[in-house]
Amino acid sequence: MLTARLQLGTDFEQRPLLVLFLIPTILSSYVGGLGPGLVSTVITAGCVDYYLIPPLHHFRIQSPSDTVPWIALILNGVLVSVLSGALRRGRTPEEPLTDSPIASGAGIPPKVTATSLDFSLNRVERSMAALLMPVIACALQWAFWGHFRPFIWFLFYPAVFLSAWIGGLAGALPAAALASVMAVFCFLPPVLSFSKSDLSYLPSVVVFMSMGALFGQLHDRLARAKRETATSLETARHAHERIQAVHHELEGLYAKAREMDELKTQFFSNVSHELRTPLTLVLAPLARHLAGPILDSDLRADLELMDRNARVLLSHVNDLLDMAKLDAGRMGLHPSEVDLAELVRLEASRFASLAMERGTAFEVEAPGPLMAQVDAEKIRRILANLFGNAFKFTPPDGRISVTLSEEGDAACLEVRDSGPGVPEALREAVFDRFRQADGGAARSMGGTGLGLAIVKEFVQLHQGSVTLDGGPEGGARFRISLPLRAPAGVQVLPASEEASESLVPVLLEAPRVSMAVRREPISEDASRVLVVEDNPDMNAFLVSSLGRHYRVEAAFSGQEGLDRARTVMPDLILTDVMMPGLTGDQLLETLRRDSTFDDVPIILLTAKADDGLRLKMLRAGATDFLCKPFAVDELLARVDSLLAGRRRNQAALKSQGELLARMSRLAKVGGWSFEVATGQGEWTEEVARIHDLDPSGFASAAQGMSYFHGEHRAAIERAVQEAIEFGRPYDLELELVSAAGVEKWVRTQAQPILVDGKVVRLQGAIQDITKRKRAEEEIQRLNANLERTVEERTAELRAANSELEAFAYAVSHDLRAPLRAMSGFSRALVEDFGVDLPAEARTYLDQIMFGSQRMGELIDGLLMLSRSTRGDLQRQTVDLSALAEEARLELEQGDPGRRVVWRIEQGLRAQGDPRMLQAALRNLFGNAWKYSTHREQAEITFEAVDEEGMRQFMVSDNGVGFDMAHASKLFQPFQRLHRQDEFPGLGIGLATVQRIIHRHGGRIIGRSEPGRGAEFLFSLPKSPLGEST
Amino acid sequence: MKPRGILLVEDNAQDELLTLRSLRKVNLANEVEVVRDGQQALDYLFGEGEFASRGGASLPAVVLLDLGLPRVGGLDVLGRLRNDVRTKLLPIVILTSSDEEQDRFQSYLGGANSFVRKPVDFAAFAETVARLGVYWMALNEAPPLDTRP
Repeated sequence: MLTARLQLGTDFEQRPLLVLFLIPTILSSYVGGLGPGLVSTVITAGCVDYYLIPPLHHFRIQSPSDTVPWIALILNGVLVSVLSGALRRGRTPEEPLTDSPIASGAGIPPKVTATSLDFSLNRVERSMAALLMPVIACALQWAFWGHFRPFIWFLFYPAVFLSAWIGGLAGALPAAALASVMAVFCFLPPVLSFSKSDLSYLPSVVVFMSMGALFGQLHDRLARAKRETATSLETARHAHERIQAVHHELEGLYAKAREMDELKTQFFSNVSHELRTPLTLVLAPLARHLAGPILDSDLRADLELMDRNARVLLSHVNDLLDMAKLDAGRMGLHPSEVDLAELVRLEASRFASLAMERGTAFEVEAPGPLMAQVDAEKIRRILANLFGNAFKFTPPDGRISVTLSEEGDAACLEVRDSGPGVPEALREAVFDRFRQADGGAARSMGGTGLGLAIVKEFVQLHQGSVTLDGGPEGGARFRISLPLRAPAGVQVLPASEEASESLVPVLLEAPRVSMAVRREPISEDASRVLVVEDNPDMNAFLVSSLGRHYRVEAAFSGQEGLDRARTVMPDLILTDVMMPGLTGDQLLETLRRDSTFDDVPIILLTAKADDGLRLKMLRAGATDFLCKPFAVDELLARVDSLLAGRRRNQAALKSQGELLARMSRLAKVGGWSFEVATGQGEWTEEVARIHDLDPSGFASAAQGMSYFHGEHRAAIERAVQEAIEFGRPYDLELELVSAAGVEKWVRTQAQPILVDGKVVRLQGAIQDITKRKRAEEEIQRLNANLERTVEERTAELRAANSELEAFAYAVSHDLRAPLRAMSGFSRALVEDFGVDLPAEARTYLDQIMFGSQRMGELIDGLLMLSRSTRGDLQRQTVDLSALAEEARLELEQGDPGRRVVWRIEQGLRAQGDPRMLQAALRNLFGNAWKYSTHREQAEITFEAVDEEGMRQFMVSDNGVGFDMAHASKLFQPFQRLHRQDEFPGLGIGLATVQRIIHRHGGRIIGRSEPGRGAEFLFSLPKSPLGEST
Repeated sequence: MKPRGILLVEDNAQDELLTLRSLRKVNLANEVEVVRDGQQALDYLFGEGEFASRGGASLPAVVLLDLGLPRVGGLDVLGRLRNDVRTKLLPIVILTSSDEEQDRFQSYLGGANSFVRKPVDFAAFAETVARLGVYWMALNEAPPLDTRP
């Protein structure tokens, strides 16, 4: 390449014109880019200097006029080379030079065209290209100055224009300045100098500069406008492509939908055809058999059943087929000249027997003839569907009227019925396919929901119209308007007299006679199954299938089913879901709310294999499902299994129940429960037994309460009311009078059962507690008696005591006076007449005095004894040791001459009356003191000992003691174990001590051996009832 | 003013005799008036009934009152005497055979000035009565007459 260019350069080197050397330089740089362009520029400049600029063949330049073109040449070469390099880079872009949205757009390659110079050069390069233009202009003008003189701006104007085009304002302004400088320097005389004599050139420079600026600005705007246009164009193109894509997609979907629709139509059509064929094959032999004599009535009933249902199926298939045809647009209209009135009468007559059977008033008013060009077959379908519809919705004793009239060029048909009518909101919708006025499972009438849709479609085929309104007397009124002439362009066929099949819809009013299916004798204890199914045929089928094994009850509606269930109490219920009025699921819910049916299995028959419905039913308490169609074996297997399970449960329940019954009979406890809302409930046999009622009787709260009377009645009523209102349980013991008039005590308890915070049920137990109550009463009575007896005894004792006190009082007063009289007068005798009395008389008087003195001592002793325990016992803690010390002191003071060794244990305490205990200790110590008189070394001891498992106090001495043989007399009053002359005494002391100790609930014993002292042990219990301390 | 003597209220004739004998030994027998039951004692002291003629001229220096009296009991007599302004300061000695605590308590509560038990032994009895008479008649200063209205 370089060589080629060098050769090219040499090719032109001989040319005499300097300007020609520009061309190889430009070419070189264009082909080779920046590097080769610069090399070429250097070579060219050298060649030009060497060959063309004088002195020739020498690299010196003498004339400054030759220097200008030479420098211009070099400048030109350098600029062109740089530009070419930039251009080459632009052609092989690794990345777009401008960041336009289009260039970065997906999949659209940046376009590099000749006009895209603006876009592919950067700002500096464009400025350089712009600067190149005045240089080139200067060089060319220098070369051909002779031709252009005197127009010094001649080539500079286009040059600056080009600069503006290339570089915009930023390119044009420097270019214009450069051009001005060069033009003034090179072409304005004096040439090649800036020192100009004439300044008149300045306005032209200003004008030129303004032009340059103007060009630049214009080109800037142009460039911007171009760029914006291009951007908009790209956006539009993009959007367009998207729309195209979406459109394409839509077309695809539409095609698919149409295909699906066709497929569906095709499917319906195929299915209907495929169904019709076997149906025909079923119907034809059936018709033949039914026409002939049939011996067995059962067989005939079966055949009729088959025939009827096959025809129902056929009519449904026909409906579907018509719909499919209409959808496919293949339903053609084949009108002929027909007497419409006759057609109406003929079709109506087919319903006459049905009307008779149902007792429906069916009035037809079709005065004829009324000739019309209609498709007789389709008109018959219309009529049959309308009549059938009317019969379906009209109650048996209702009224249906049909009128046909001519109105202008149209026939008007009106069908009115006295059924429930159609709500205004649904009057349009009833003509929709598969639509029925009261949709859902609760629809009262069978049917596919296609009949009225077909009517509408067929009427529209005739270009007629159909409307539905309420009619003057309620019910529904269909009005059909049919043009008398066939639509234009439809060929009218001559009237034909073809025989047609009956189109009377097979209403589900099969004679119930067919229910009298064979029933083999079933044992009385066979399980009882209730079948609830509105379809008579299905009902009969179920009854006959189950009837071989179970006692079967049939019901034909939900409500009837409910009533029968409550009266016959079946072991199992089999019910359809879709039934007029009360549906199977409603029946299920109603039964499940009644606890009586808690354990009765309920099987639902459903045609819909709908998992959601199943779940809903199972939650509502359904036991099992059977999907129609089902196999008889499966039905029997399920029923059998459920009944077996129920029997097992019942057996287990029964044994549990018997156990419970035995237990409750033993405990005389009965359970009961009743509903708050109804007051009805149940109770166990024991409850009935407690009330002396028949256990099989019906239970109610009111009855239960009626056996209580008076305050008991008020109490139970209040308790029940509070249990219901506040959920408060109760537990009462009340008396009732049973049905047999027996008074019984019962304990009655109740627990409220709450649902959602409301008491719905009370449950409780009642127990016959008569025996206990009687025992309690007896105890109470005895207690009362005992108390009375004790009171009586106490009163007697008190009386005795006070008598005793009065006696003691009397003794102390009245016995002493005579004694004193005896001793007093004796002494008076002695004193006053002593000297005169014989010695013997004095002795007697002395004896009288002694006796009365002794008598006084005895009386004092007796009084002390009686007084010792008189009054109330003031029980308190007594320091016995201290009392003992006091008694000792008294004794010692009474006889200061005696020496006795005392041993008194300190800190002895007991519970008792201090006054009495002091008397006791005084007597015991007195005894010990007295009977130890003769001892040289008398010892008296008071201490506590543990004997016979209890703490006792002991007073002992080392005196004469006593003979244990006489111990029984020890504590008897006035009984002495020693003679008066041995030890004087009254025999009252120990008796007093014993009475005091006994009064404290304690015991005292004395023991001794003669000559070895005596021991007296006594105990003092903490309380009169306690054992001891 | 007539010297005031002793009023002995004693239903038992033997005791009366012994009491009078004992008082005679100390020369006080002449100053003793004897009534035999409670009602008589009241009549005597208030000058009522059979003693209306006395007109309540004078009260004894001391009343020796037995408790067990017919008609009106000793304690009742004591109560009535203490409730009357004329006799509420009258020295009253209960002289009885009883040694019941209850009697002693009631007597002091009722306002008796002294409670003396009649010993059964006559020697003791004689001495007791004699000392009583000497004490009340010779040693004891009688209460002043109540001059209040």
